[in-house]
Amino acid sequence: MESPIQQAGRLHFIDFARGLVMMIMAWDHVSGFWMQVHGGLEGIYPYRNPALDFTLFMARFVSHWCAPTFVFLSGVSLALSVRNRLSRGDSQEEITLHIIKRGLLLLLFETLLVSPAFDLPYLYFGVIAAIGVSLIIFSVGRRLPTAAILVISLVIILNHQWLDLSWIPMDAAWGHYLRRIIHEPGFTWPPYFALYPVIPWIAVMGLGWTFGNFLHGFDREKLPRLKLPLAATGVASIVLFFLVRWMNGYGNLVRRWSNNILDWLYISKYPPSIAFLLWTLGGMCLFLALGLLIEKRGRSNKNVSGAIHTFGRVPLFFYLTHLWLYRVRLPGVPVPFHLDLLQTLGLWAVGLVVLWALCARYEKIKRRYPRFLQYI
Amino acid sequence: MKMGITRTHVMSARSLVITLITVGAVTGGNLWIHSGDPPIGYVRYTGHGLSFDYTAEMSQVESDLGGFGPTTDSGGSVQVRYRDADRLEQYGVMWVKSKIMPTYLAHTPESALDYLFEVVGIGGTQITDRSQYMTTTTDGHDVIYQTFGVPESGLTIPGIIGVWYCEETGRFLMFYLVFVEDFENIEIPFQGLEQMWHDYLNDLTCHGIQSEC
Repeated sequence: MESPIQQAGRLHFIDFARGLVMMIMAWDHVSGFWMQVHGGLEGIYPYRNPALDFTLFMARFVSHWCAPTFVFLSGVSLALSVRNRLSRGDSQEEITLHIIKRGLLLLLFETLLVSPAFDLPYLYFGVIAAIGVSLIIFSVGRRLPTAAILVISLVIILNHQWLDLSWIPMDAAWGHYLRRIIHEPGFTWPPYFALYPVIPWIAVMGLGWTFGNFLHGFDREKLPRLKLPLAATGVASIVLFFLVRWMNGYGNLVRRWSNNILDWLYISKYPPSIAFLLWTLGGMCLFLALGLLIEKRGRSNKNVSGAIHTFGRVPLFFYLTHLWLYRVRLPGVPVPFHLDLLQTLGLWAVGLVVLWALCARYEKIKRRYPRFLQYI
Repeated sequence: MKMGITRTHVMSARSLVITLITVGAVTGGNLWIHSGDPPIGYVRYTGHGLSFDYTAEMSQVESDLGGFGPTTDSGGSVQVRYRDADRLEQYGVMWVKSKIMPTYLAHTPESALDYLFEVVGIGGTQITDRSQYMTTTTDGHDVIYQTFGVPESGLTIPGIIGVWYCEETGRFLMFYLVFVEDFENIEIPFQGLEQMWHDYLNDLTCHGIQSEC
């Protein structure tokens, strides 16, 4: 039997939060492609780039919300999708196979479409690959009770900083790559590059899975009641973030060198520290609450909000398309000139309009050929 | 049956309590076990009467100084380095005892630094653009420091080095940093580099480490 929430169709507030961070992510990528100075590799680099002034630092910092929200909501979607398939009569084996296929497809996309867009080697292990591997693990792991998945996820997030992989040789290519993929992101030995190790990102998906299962039993009409708890969780997470940064020990991975605001905000994304996840998942909770507010006011399909929801409904298509749209040039071709901040903002805005048109068009095509395009 | 905000089938209150206790126990246990460790993600170097932390991604090497050492009682260096396609970050501490410095040099921090650059030059590394001295303090010592450049592949890599005399161990200590965030855009504001050098310098303990002092 379908749950009330499944009968009601898509959850617009989820689409809104996902669409919003996709837009922010596009900003991060367009600035990385075209601006001369762009921050990055926070955590791999223990010290923030001294060349970044406040504006440029913040231009990068805002993008931190993207990956955690993207991965968390992948877990939410997976949970809802599995429940949906079970209720319509799919067998466990069919569901497992479907998830594995999707995971493998993501790995293929990372290699063939994402890595070349960033001028990175085909073995690069980015966020799409991390989601792909996490999905494959979840294809089996999902059979565990939700409470067990929550325990494992929280234990990973709160303890992964003590994970010791020194028993895997770092001087052998296979060992180096394995350690990069499992937990130690890095860029030192081409082509064995990785930025989004499975640990702890799979745990973020696990939290999303738990939230998705929580949502599953919810009455659609009562969804707006989640607004306040979500907003409170978001604010509490951000307060905790400042507490962790102030303590400057456990949960940081990158120390706060001084009381300069930039040092407070320079946090480890690679791998994600507790401070990083508190800030970003806290922000995501606020975005979800905002999405519920917009949904309650019936503005999910209007103007800018409508565009954001459109992006959120076709995230993988948006991801693959925006990289090449903003990159403009062929793989391996270096940037011919650099843009300043305002020009880059202009390019970002124009690109979003084009992406809106493309995503809306793709959505219609997908509705027409749902089986053929089910994985994208 | 419709479910509201107060009740879902995800987990019972009992499961939630067990979840929190399990997670708390594992995390608390790890915090207790690792309570004496360096900051997470960092490695602590302790040796030759020195101690400082560096990130696990950096490689560390001890070496001699112009054929002396590395021994605590003559001269040597401990350096850490990170390098990838875009970024170079290298810093380290060098020490030299008066007794191994040439007699024609005045045994002052300035001359110790001159001596170091001479040794480095013999080793094949050119040092250019040495600035005027500035002053600061570290670990209770007065420090003089200056900026410099290291020419490499048509670029000049910026660096900062400071020198002081550590009365407790009777040696001149020099702490340097060379840093490039992006080899395609090597312009680094001096203040940013100086702040970075200060932060790393303040993390260094130059005396009072075990019995070596």
